[in-house]
Amino acid sequence: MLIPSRPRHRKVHRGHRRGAAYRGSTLAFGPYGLQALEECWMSNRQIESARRAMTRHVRRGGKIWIRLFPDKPFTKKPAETRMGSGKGAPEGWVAVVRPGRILFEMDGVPSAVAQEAMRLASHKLPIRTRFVTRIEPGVQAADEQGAL
Amino acid sequence: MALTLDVEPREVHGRRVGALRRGGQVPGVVYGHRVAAILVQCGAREFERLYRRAGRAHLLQLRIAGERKRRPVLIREVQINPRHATVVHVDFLQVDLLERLVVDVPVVLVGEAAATRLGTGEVLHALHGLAVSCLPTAIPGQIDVDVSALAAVDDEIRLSALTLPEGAELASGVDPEELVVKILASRVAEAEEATAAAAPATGAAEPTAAGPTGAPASD
Repeated sequence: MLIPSRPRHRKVHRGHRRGAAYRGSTLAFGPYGLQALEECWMSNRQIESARRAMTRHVRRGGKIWIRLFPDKPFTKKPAETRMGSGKGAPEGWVAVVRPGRILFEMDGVPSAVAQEAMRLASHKLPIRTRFVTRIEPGVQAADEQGAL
Repeated sequence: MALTLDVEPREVHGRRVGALRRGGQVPGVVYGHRVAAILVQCGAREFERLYRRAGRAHLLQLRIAGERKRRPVLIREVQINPRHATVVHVDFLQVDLLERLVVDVPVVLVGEAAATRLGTGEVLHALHGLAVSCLPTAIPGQIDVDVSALAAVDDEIRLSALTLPEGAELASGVDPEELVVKILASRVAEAEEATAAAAPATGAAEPTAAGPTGAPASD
């Protein structure tokens, strides 16, 4: 599972997650990707679960990139505890996801396989997502060249 | 055949362009070397259709309402709304047909690598766009890279091995030794090797996953 190797602080503020993801919102490595449509805190368990779903479906070949990292610790107070007495104990790690963020990318597999793998992965995530493909504007197939 | 786009001069700017977008228009700007900038707007559908066809490396003819002469332009920058994938704003660069300029040209892989066909490796497409310097009339629409000869793992093509079309050369600052495409060992082969190596050991290692640096994940 993804965990920061050298956390600087044990506990951090919750922060805000309004707005859209302008960074990390385009495909950078592969031709297929899974894009977030909502905001959330995505835990390292959810990311790992989605990754496993994808790799199990693809089975052989293919390459997967994880485009987010759970670098934010979150805390939880014990059950049946009265309010106050300070912040709770660190419980886990999450990545802050905003709409538009590319979560995973894939290469080396046919489009249908990538789409099904991403669909299976999306069921492990707490938000709505969409499958995106790289469309290079202006690029033509060999038989279309010379038409412009 | 030259592609033409009809645009109108725009007077609305600032926050009020939101109303333009809701009305199916895309705000934009035309600028260039020794050219006064002019605000324009065009139909979103017409623009998207043309952008899909032309990209950023094809010369367009811009017909501004009220002007008799067409302006030769390139689409320089397109801002996309990450949430809705719609066009927010577009920059047109007006070019002087006698002045060299630097254009980002898409790099396209052609053919199937022998390694993929044999199942020994996978193609890593490392460079998707290349900055070339050329005259506006000699811009290559795309640079095709034939990968069919790549047969073994670690076979690669670097920029220095490419032949650019006539009239185009690498822009200054581009490293000629930059990697374009490379054959990597396939994931199954890697996994089999790892299993064989780990067999004598008592416990299997936890699967490692890639961080935001972009290193590929393994299962």
